[in-house]
Parts: sequence; structure tokens; C-alpha cells
Amino acid sequence: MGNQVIYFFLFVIIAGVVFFYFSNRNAAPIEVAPEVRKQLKESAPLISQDRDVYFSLLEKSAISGGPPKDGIPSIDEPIYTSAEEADEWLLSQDIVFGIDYKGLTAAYPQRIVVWHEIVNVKIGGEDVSLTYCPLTGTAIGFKGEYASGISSEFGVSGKLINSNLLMYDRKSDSYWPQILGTAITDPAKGIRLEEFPVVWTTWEKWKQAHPDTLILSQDTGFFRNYGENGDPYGSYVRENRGYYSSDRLLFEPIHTDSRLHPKEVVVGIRDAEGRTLAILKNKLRTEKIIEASLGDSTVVVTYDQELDFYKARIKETDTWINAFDAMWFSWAAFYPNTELVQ
Amino acid sequence: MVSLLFSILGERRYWLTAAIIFFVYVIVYLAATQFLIFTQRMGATDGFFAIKIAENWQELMFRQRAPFLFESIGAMYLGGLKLFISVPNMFLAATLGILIGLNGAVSYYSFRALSLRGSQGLVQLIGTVPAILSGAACCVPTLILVIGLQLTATLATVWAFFVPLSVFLLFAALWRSLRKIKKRTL
Repeated sequence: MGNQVIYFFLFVIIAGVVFFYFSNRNAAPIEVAPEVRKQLKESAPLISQDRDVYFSLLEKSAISGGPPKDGIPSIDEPIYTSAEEADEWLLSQDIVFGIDYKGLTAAYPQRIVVWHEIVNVKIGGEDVSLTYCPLTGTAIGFKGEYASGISSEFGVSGKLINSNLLMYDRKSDSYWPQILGTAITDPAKGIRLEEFPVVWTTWEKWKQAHPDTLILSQDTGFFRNYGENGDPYGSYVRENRGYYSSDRLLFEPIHTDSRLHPKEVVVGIRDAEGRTLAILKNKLRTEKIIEASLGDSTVVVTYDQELDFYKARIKETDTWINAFDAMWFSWAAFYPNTELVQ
Repeated sequence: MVSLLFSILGERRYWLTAAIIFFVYVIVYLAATQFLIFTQRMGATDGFFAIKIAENWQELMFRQRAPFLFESIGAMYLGGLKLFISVPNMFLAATLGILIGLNGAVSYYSFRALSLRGSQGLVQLIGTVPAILSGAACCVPTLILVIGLQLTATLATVWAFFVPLSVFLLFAALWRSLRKIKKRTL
């Protein structure tokens, strides 16, 4: 009798394990519509052999960060509150990602976005996504329309390349490393996303610059620790910064470069031709304006004291080019031949 | 074996041991996976006591955040204490808590009543660790940094099976202890 009870318990445990393991209610595989596939076949650029090899290398080096696809849920219907309401729970020195794009001026607190990594927003009918990777310290804004007539939201694949967020798009299920901003898998392979400016600053500075700003509410549709000590990786506010200042990495990058501390913040700039430049952020803070070469062009990066951020433009054409904060190890891993201004 | 276990638990001091270990473990498990948190300044809308359940709770119930770690369907607020309600996680925490509690009670009995000393205490302790770490890979990665690990694809795969590994180790340890006691008392 005793042994029968034990066998029964063993059976319950094994059945429970199997049930829990296969009870995943996460994103179902995406069925790519034939017209999307056809359109992408026409839109996707021809990729050089070198670039194809590079994309394959990246794809092979993608590893699971732990969560399954959409295990880190993107925020798809953001709700906003006023600055006054946010003041009740947000500290003035808390990091926010600010956007001021097509009439929407909004701040997205890092302590919320760290749990979601992607916020999909519709601005005047246009799909845009604010993306943030905590492990590489990169916040980048992408436009959802990446081919004629194809516009998509993005989700978190659960995989990482060089510790960087690997996004997938919900129309074609192609995979896009955030820092690269380019699809590395079919059917969108080779297509580069258009970007828009995202400002990495503090709540206090953003609010002073944009008093009428909206701010992402804690009402995200999910339950997470959005409190002061909620960031699971560390803190940008406390003295003990955890992962953000430690010289250790959670995942081994493809390439390492010891010219700087792995977590040193650089301002990363890259263009459609694959030319890259990194500027030590602290140097920019000191010098206020830095001019540097990006291939045949000159990039002018101007520091904005009010926001503790910067703007970059191509000098010859006076056109905007995206520049964003990145931890050195991740920038160097994606772009081993990068120029570095330090 | 089962009747032996029940006869041990029949004594107040042993079932009390099991109950205390159970509660402590469940609290540690929920805190380690950040389902039980203490925080201030969470917003003016949080009263001293409140329960909030998501409208789409059925959709969230079995959605996985990581292997054996499920979405919360709601939250319970008690002052600065917040408990994120996830039915499967609570079930897992309770299962592990019961196994650890029983192991603790049986070990205490062996030690006190039979003066049995051995390595089963160590096995039981080892059995508890993977379960606590199970939520750490995705959700509390600073813990991994503290331990000094670098995650590789293999380790991440192994990590995914920490909860069943814990259940197995604890079950084996309990069985082993009960067999020892039975042999000794025959």
C-alpha cells in the first residue's frame, strides 16, 4: 500500500512537470500572409556575401536569455498619466526615455520599460516602437513601417545576441537585433528599420524641458515590481548599481575589446552603409561639441546640458542621424571595426 | 513509508517543524522570484489593503515568463507589501514547500528520536537551492552575477529544469530518510 502511494505521488509529480512545461500560453507561431512574403521578397535588398555571413554568425550566436517568446511582454496599449500624477511615485533622478515625435511628447520610465523592453505606440496612425535593452543600455526608437505597405509592432523574442535584445516583428516573424536595427532572418533579411530620436535623461530634466509631457502609467496590463528597487538588474539611481557598473557580463559576446571598461557608456552612431563611430559619452559632456568622421562624412554631435543628452547630424547635408547610448562591450561586439573617440 | 511519515507528523513538534519550514520556504521562494516584494512609493492609488485582478486573467493564467515561472493575474497590496498572484507559481511554491517541510520534520525526527546523523540533511539542503534559483535566470539576474556565473546556452537549458530537479531531489531525500528510519526501527 505504502509503495503504491509513493508511485502515485511520483506519477503526479511527473505529470505536473510535463503539464507545466507544455502549458506555455505564449505567442503562437506567426503565419506570415502570402502577400507580406511577396512584398518582402520585392523589398528586401540584395545582401553581399560578407553581410550574409555576418548575419548567419549573429543568428547562430543567438541564445535564450531565459524567457520564451513574449515571456517579456511588450506594452501594446500604453496608458499615460500627467506629470503631476507621476511625481507621486517617480523620483526626480529616475531615468526616463523621452520621445517628442509627431505631436506626442511622452516619457517612458526606465523602471517600467525594463520589464517590457518594447513599447508599441500608434502616433497619428503610424506604428512606432520604443525599445530598450537593459543588458546593453540601449534605447532606440523604430518606425514600424519597414517595407511599402507593411507596418508592424515588435515583440521580445527572448533571445539575445551579444546580450542585446533580439526583437521579432509580428507581421513577418523576422528577427531584428536592436543595436543593428536590421533583420537578420528571412523574410525581411537585410531590411533596415527607420529610426526616430529617443532621449535618455532623468525625469527632472525631461519635465523641465517638456512641462506638458505625458508619462507612461504603471497600468501596463501586467503585474511587475515597478517600485524604486524593482529593476532586476541593478539601479541607475542607487550607489550600488549592480549589473550596470559591474565589469561582469551575463553572456559572452562574439567579440571583446578592452579599450574601455565593458560598461562604459559610448554614443554609438552608424549609417546605412555600415560605417560606425563611438564617442565616449563623458568626453562629449566635457567638450560639448565633437566632430568626427563617419566614412567620407563628418558627424557633428552636440551635447545638450539641459537634458544631459545630445543630437547628431551629418555636417555636409545637415541631416539628422540617430545616435544613442550603448555599453561599450555591446557596441564593440556588433561593430568590431568601429572608430572610437575617447 | 506513508504510514511512518504520518505517524511522525502525528507528534506536535514535528508537524510544527514542517509547517514553519513550509511557510519560510514559500516566502523565500516568492521573494526570490520577485512575486513578493516590499516597496514604498508605489503610487497614490495603492490603499493599505487592496486586491486587483486583471480583466484578462484567463489569458494570463498559464502564460510563461520563463520555464516554470508564470504571469501574475493580479496583485494583493498590504501596506508596502505586495504579493503578485500567480496560481501556478503558488502551486509550485506550495509543492516545494510541502516537500521541504516534510524533509525537515523527518530529519528532526531522525536526529531527535533515533540519533541518526548522516548526509541526508545536505541532500535536502541542496534540493531546495535549484528551486529558489529557478526564477533567477530571467527575472532576478543580479543573483547570477552575485554567484559569479556567466550564462551559456547549455546552462540556460539546464536552468530551465531546476524546478523538476528540486522536486526530484527533495522526493528522493525524503524517501531515503524514511527508509533509514524504517530499517532502524524494525
